[in-house]
Amino acid sequence: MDDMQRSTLWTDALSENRLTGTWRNETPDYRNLPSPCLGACPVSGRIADWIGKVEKKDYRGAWETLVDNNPFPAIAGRICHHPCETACNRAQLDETVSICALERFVGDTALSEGWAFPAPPANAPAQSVAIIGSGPAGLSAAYQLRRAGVGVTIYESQDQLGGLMRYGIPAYRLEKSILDGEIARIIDMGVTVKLNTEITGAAGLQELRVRHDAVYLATGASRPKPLPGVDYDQPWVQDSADFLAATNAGQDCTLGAHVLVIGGGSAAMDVARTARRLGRKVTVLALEPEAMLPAQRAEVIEATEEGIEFVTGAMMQSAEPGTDGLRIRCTRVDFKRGTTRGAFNITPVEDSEFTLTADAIIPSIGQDADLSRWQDLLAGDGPVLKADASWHTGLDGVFTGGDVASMDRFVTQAIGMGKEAARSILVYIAPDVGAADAPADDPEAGFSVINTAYHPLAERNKPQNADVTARLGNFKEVQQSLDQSQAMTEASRCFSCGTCTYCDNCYFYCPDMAITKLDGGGYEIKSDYCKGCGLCVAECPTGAIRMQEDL
Amino acid sequence: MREILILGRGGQGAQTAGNQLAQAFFAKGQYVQTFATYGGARRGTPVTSSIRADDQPIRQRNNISCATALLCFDDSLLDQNFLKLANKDTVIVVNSKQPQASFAGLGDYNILAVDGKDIARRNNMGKVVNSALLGALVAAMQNPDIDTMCAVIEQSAPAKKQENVAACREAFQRVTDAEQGNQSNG
Amino acid sequence: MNALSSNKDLQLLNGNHAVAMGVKLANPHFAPLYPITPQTPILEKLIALQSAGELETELLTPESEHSAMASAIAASATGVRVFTATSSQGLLLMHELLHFAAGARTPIVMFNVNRTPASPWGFWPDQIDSLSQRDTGWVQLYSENPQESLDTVIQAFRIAEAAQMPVMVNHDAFYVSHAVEPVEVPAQETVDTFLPAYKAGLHLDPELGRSLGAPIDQKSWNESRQQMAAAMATVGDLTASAGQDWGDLTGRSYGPLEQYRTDGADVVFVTMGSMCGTVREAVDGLRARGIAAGLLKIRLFRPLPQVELRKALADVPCAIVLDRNYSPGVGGVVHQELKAALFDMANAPRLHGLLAGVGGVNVSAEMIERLAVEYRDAVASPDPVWVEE
Repeated sequence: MDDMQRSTLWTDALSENRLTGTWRNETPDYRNLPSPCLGACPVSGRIADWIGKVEKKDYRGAWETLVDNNPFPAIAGRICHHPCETACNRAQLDETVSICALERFVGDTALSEGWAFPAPPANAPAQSVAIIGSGPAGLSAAYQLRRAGVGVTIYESQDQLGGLMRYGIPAYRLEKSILDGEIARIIDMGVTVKLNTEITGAAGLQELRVRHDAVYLATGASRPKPLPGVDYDQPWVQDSADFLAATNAGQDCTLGAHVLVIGGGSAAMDVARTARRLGRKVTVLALEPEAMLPAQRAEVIEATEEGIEFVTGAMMQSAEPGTDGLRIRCTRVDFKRGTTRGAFNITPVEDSEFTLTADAIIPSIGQDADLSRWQDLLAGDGPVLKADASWHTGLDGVFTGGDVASMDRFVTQAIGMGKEAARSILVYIAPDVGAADAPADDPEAGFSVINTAYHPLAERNKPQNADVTARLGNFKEVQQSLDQSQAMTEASRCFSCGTCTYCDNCYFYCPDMAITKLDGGGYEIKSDYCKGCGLCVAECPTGAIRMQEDL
Repeated sequence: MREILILGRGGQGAQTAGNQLAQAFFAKGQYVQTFATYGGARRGTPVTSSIRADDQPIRQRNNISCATALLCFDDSLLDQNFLKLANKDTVIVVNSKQPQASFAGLGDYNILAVDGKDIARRNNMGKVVNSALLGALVAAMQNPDIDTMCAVIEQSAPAKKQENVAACREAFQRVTDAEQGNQSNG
Repeated sequence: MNALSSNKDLQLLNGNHAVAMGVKLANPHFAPLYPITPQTPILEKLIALQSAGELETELLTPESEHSAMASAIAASATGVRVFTATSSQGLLLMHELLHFAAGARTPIVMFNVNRTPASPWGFWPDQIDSLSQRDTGWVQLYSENPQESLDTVIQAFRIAEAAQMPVMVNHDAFYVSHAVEPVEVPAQETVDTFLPAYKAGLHLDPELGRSLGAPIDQKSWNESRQQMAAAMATVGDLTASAGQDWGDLTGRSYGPLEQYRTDGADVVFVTMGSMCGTVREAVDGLRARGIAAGLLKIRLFRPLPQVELRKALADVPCAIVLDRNYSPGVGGVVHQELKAALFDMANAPRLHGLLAGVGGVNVSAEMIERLAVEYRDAVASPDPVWVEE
């Protein structure tokens, strides 16, 4: 009975007429495709991978995947401008996944658990790289090079490491203990640090170039852009970088009771909110209309919550001290964005002058890189250093990145540039060892490849902010962490776009039992039996399988 | 073979009464069969319960066309349609306040009127008349015996067991007394 | 008076509750059930038994009969014993999957309560619901009374599992499904002796790496039907031996057919289901009047026991089929089946096809006696005749 039935009913019957593979003209291909968040991520972090690990409560594994590309998950989890969330496919179903908050959760877990980076390989080539500047780009490069076993010496002009992360970002956005913890972990890998050591000019750079196998130059953009028509020598004017460095270092603020911050970017928000925490009345004056302010939206909202006034779409024309403070004459402007990042055109609106009063002015309209130091040695490219696609400057063995070499002025952009430069440096100093894989040209896993039937609607777990009254008068962190259960449910909202989660749907749905589960994970298609129906692709919740035409 | 029909309105308990009567015959060692109209049955619509009881296994599976006894829960249902299933030997018990004589116009039938509602009320049973009517019916059929009938009611009544049994016995007694009265008069 | 005193373990059960008791004793692993009048008491009783801890079967109440049958097929294909029950519209909703179940050789046992299909709407005994499923490949058995329904559902598992074919057992709405009668519920040990735990052959199992029922070529599909034919050919004997073994254990024997007082009969009634009981009364009445009447009860309708039918009716002068069903444009299904079964038989009876009881109208013993007198010497018409009281 069984044998007879086997020949007509059961697919394991090995008869010729059951070789459904002969019907096929397309074959499923298991290939993890880049998720949109990965494409948007400044450090090319494998977000779907590590969130998948969070969902499985494998926090250590999640952290290890994260720090493959970024040694600062706790920092990035606080201050990243998270373009990943804008790109997130889930936004097309309900709301974007709180990727940034999840990254913070993993980063904080690593710090509280005291996880350390593994010791660099012992059989490392005896090469060394000099890194000038210890901001996000410099530290990121130092980390990636040290992981590969290369000797690293950091030259930092200040007395502490961190660059912009330490001197430019207030503690209410990034607690100093978090910064210290994530930097210490890198230094513990055996990085040599020279503090208070400023490489002042071309000669110093040449000397380092001789002493090391390569140099990475990441001095940032620390020179404030001067606001035309303002006399910075006046006691009622303070430059924004100086203001933030001083207040971040805990020094007293000597400015008057009402501060006018000029500028609409993130730095301006940091200045304004810091001054507010120091008890000042604060007004922000920006060229851009409110909706076009270059600062992150959340920063503008939080600043407003904290009682900061905004005067937008307007420009200062002059400031004169009067009997009771400054009289600041302004005019409305018509603001038009330019074609390149940061470029714009303004036209003053006729007869729209008005006057503001304040006790002090802090211009915060951006910072320039100091390129003059390297004159005659390194070529400039407009406001930044010139470099090729591998971040190699025109000078042999000198690489660059971060704000000194790019107008993409976000901390995580700088971290990504440091990683890329480190790879180029490895190739430069040890071509056999460092060659990176050619980037795959796989298409991104867009929303259309996600089977939303497997992803029920679920509310986003947003990180909560501290109450406004609790924020003022101190520098405690505004944004709060997700707790473990929020992190777990948030991680489960991730579609894992383009990433196989080994759910076995393909295996169960295959009508011809043409899929074999491999020991140790993964699947294999039996070409004798796969008829190319594509059911596995249709039932894949994450879009990690695609049909490829048989040639 | 006894073939008994119980006619009531949906919700009055005609089907329950049919089952209890069958159980009583079964307890006395008889083969029984009982079934009730269903499906279209809704509260208030006429419901018929059929009961067969015999010393031999009951094989036929069809409607009763001439009953040995009829029990009618509501005198408004006792019409010529129903009486077609009876003949002059059929024992007919009808729940009614009306005097016996008021049914004479229906024809040459052996109709016994019992005020089941009165008995039910007197025994704290409200409008629930089925136990009282069963007592009247077994008295009129002289089968099965009242103790067996009461034992079945006590065992199967979902509530007010003693009140049900008391109503059954009172009705049984009324009918028995009336029949004896008829005989002594006759 | 105490006619039943010698019988043990008799309970007053209606036909549906008797079925549920039989299912409980057969102890299937899985039973998906969807309620429908007049099947619902089967479902209710099984749920009550499970709630009382007396039934281990996993019950599922899916959203339709179609889903009930789909889950029955899937469960059965994994190699477990499966039961389901339905009636009329529910059975018809399952139609597509009835073919599937038989083709997939899943030995499901289903109880169907024969009820008029809409339209017009009705709840009355009529066998056209199941008879119209005769070509789906299901074995079909028809039961006369609550006791037989209990006995047959247990035997059905043995037949199904031995032949690897699904079995549908049917009894009439109302006269059996809702009729309370004394029923002997056998002991669990008796049933365990008769029906050991099911040991499936080929079955679905993730570890085994095979699937069931994938597309195949014409020749293999053709072959699958020949394999079903071979399986169907065993069902007659399996039904006979199951009925005999059951008789040895309980004193109640059954077979594919039953002949009642057919010896030397001039006129034999042929019918199925509850009407057989009423015919027995009529046969006794006729015999008492000196008319040699008999009953040929068809219990196994699919596969139709053609050889046995020809044997049973050989040299019988007159046979009267009582069909409680109507196939519009043709007539009674049993009449048609019998005409085919007796085709070209030299000593075949004159065969009358009477449509009696269609839609559940009453058929009394007196009426049957009258029909015997009326038709036993009449010339048989190939067309059906509507009869009524």
